[in-house]
Amino acid sequence: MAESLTAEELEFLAKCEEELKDRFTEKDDDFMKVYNEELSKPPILDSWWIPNSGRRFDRRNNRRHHPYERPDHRDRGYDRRDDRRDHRGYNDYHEDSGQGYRQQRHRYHY
Amino acid sequence: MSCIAANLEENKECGKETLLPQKDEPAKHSSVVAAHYNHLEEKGLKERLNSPIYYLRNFNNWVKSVLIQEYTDKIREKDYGRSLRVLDICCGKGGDLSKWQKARVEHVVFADIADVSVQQCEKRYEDLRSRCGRLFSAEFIAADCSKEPLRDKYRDPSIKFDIASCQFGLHYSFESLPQAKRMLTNISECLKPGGYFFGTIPDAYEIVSRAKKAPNGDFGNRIYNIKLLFDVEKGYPLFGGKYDFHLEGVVDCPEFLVNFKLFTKLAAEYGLELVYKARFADFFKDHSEKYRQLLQKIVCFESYPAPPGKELVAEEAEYEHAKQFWQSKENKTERDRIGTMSTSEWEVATVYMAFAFKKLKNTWDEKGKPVYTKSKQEGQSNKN
Repeated sequence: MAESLTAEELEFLAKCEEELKDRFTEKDDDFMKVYNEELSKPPILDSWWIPNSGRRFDRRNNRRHHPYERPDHRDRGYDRRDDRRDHRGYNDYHEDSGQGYRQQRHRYHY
Repeated sequence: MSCIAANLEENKECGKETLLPQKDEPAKHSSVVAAHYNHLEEKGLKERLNSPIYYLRNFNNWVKSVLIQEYTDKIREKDYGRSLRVLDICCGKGGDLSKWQKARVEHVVFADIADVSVQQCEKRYEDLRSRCGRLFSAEFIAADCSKEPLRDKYRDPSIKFDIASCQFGLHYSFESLPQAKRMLTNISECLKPGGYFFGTIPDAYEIVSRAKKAPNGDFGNRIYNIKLLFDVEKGYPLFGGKYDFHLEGVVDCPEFLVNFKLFTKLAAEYGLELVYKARFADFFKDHSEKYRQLLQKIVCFESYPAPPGKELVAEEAEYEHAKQFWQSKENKTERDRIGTMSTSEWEVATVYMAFAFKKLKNTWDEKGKPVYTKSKQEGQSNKN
């Protein structure tokens, strides 16, 4: 690798080697701060609602066969969403992914 | 974008092929990365929901969303209504497409080393556009951004970006100085003065700390493992400090340590001045209040205790912190829950850090080189 470096690059490296010669050692204060820290504990958020989302595949509580309801109305909606997400794959999250309060309200409406 | 990154943020699993480079062939690393991404395999949502890193991935997406929102807001604070142009470098399959949409940007150039990823990114862009009508304009470039100039590949090589974003990808260019320089040239040369360059990388302090505390420099938990691939007795190389990062369900992926001071020094040569850096644990503290709703919306944390009929993603022992909090909590109702993450997932999240640089104004010296003048400071906040 070294042979492909320009004189300017070699000079930059030499300067950095000198300035950062204590990197990751006891003399590197910023490093030691991290080294001496206790392992970070996972966050805790109080008042976290129970997402009914995720467990879109767990439909035990969905009362799918209510006699006055068009069959599997809600489930079809879920499936459509899932297909789309699968197809797109790339993301993350969507405004309309039904993981918020809105859907919860909907669910308990019945 | 790295394989690890793809897995950590895009809800994707990598292919099963063994595409590891031979350890004595470092020069071929980038082609290995490209080959790897060209073999990625899609997996279903069900599999992703059952993934042991489901919440970790969502959390990483939250970090990126916050960065995008914060810095697009900062630009708009000064110039309301400005059309924002973005360079999404190491874009992978376009994991941030919908984030750019939400940030209402005008134009995005997506660039990545793996042409198959770039094609998928383009396809997703088209899908998104056909669904939502109004969407930013975009261009797609497959190129090794640490080796090739990007500028002459832009539709308009005189384009000026307001934002350059490099998520979970910059550390690849730290294989060598020329690669890091090329990457920073690509990032900086079309960035407007006052524009921002932000991103996420593994924090070398964190990796080296953990390695030093572990026997043989090899550490991890049930979902990840990191092993330094150089002789620490001989010191830590400035560039090419290679380590192996194994993440659950992903093939091992060699990556390179980024000494942040070195990165900042090099970035300064390209007129990039550090305005923010925070390890993910601190990043969370800095932004969790303002972006609390988003945390909930994209399900960054797991409900504890497990809701009726559900199981926690990890063993009970990984929720000791939550258990203590829960037990001491008063006036609980049956439906109350707290949000948290398994210790294994959080241990991976806290390997990473976020950063943001601002592009400085420049004048030119007699040799035609840019001379950057340090900006008068405006609310700098550096942690670590």
